[in-house]
Amino acid sequence: MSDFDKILKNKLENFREFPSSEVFNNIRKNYPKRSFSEFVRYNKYYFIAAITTVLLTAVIIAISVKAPDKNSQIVLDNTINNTEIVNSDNLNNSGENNLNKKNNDVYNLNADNEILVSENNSNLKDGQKEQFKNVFTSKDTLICGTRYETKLKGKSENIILPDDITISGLNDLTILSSHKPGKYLIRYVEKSQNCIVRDSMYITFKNSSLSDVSVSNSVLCPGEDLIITIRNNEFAPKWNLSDYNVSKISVNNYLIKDLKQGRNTVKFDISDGDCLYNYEKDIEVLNTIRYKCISTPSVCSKSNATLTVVSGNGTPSEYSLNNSYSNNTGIFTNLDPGIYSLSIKYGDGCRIYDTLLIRDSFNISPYFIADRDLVNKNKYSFQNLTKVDDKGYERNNSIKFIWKVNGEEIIEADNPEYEFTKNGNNTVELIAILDESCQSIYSETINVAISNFRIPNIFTPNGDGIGDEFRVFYDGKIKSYSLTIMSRMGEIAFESNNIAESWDGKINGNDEAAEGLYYYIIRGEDEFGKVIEQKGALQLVRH
Amino acid sequence: MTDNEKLIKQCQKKSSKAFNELYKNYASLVYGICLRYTKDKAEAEDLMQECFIKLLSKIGEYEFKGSFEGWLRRLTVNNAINYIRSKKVNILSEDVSEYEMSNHEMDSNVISKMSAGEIVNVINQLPDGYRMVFNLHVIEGYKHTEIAELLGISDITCRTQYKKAREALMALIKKNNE
Repeated sequence: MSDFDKILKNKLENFREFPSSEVFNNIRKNYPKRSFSEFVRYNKYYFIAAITTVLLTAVIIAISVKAPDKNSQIVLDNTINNTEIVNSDNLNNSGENNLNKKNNDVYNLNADNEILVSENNSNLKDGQKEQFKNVFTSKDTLICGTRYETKLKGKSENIILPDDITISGLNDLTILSSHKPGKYLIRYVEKSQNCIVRDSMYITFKNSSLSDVSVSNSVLCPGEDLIITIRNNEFAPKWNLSDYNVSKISVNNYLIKDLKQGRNTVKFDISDGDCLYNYEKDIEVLNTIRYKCISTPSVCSKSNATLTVVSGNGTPSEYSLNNSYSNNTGIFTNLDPGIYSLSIKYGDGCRIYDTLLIRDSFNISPYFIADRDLVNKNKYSFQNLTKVDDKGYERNNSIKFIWKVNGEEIIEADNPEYEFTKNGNNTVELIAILDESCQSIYSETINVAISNFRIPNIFTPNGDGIGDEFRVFYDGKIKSYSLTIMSRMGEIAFESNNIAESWDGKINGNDEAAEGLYYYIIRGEDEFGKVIEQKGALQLVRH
Repeated sequence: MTDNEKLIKQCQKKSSKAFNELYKNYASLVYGICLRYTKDKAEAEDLMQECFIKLLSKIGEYEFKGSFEGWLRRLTVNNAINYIRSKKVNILSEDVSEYEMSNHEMDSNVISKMSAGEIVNVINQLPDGYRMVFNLHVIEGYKHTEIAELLGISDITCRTQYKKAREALMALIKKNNE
């Protein structure tokens, strides 16, 4: 099994994820039912206990029926009423609906009881009458928010407020505020000489903002999905997201896919039947990093490759290769050839991965061109045009070049100059070397006509002082020398054994030689006794 | 008897409460497997339901030999095979031309940096047949001959499918990471 498979197995074997709650609901519907006999068998102890309880209860009821007591009924009623009042300060969501339904019945009872118990007995003076009047415009109201505005048919100073409720404004517009959600009983008691006016109402304050909403991240990486968690809410949100794909992934979590790069506004509202909650949040999705990789291949399996990663947008915080080298410049040197995984980190933990191949090259093609010097015809300059994988070689590839002439090493330079000393064919080799196992040779044969003579091929014996004489020069020492110049007809025009002697263009020192082409033959011996023979042509011009 | 064994005993007695608990403990495991064998969440949830309904009816057959998790895994995988079969997937005639085959070997580092969820997303994109052969061979560790028998295909076809699945997966991973 390859590493690839092993990693996959390792990762996926224990991959877990929760399905949406619908799955559970569907499965639950399919729970196998116990048959009656199974039910009895598994619950026989419960059955015995239940039967015993029923019997005992029957006995107790039978005894108590004999002496019915009215007091017990009253006591029960009070208990219920008190509970209602206590609860009314702060009701939870689930209980609320039920309470609302029977509110009116409860309300009168509560208000009466409260007043009767706490104030009526002590405060009602002789002759005073108690009167109920609709001071509040409503008996029970629900406020989404913290502020209730009402027009009071009475004086606001007569309102008896529970804790957490504050009052402001005038009678025309009375404002009751609470920062703590809950159900509150507001009472109105107006006392005058002969009358006590009473009224009361319930106000239920509900939160109009959702506090328990969180997003997985407000800055996302490209392609990352957003998870919105809406806790403690049994009502489904209504999404204002026509462009996005929203799905419910668990009880509290919603997944939003396909967010576009840049700024996204996520909006939804939830209605619980009473209040509408709005939610809006800007989510930024970072742009995908654009980058370019430039690599120089390694040569001959050496650690001499380079890689440069250039990013086009954004500022990556880290480039890393194979999880082992990392830096913030994106330049990696001295790399071995092979496959690399490149990861570029940017933004808040975003990463982009790529796989790169850094090639190993053995494909060195040494090549040169030779240029002959214009003055010194024995001298050549060589230009190294070696290519590595069809590209010009880079100095950092550490290729060593050796030049050889006729098998002998001459110089280790890129573009050398060389003056040949051997007449005829010379072999020039350029050897590009990385190591012993990795080298390549290019050779060329250069035909050099070695000569120490410098012989003009034209002369003008017309007395103008320029080129009036034909003279041969020799670089170096010469042992013996003879020069013969002949006309095209083979007549000897000039002869000399002295190299310093020149021809003035006269035949035998008298007659001027005719214009035209002449031949020369030089014979002699150089200082090492080597025979020299040089033949050539010269042009005699008099104008 | 461990707590888990007690729970299973109660499930065998068809206690709803115990079933709820069992679901809570094993839903993520089963769903994780279902996700690997299907093309999207909807299919996975479908398969998940079938698996659990099967589990409810078969739990009486569990004899407390070997781990319950292993037993449940096998049950899930078998259901997945049946599920894919029921979709009448022709394993041989999958068209793969849309997946550009890559010749270079994927660096395992790329895989190692992906989360399991990300890999599952890529696996979802494979054709049904590839996905199944790949899952059975690499993750479940079935031999090619075993898979061939399970799916009623030849050993060679199975190997080819696996090879192609792997290539397609690599190509997809590369594409997704671009």
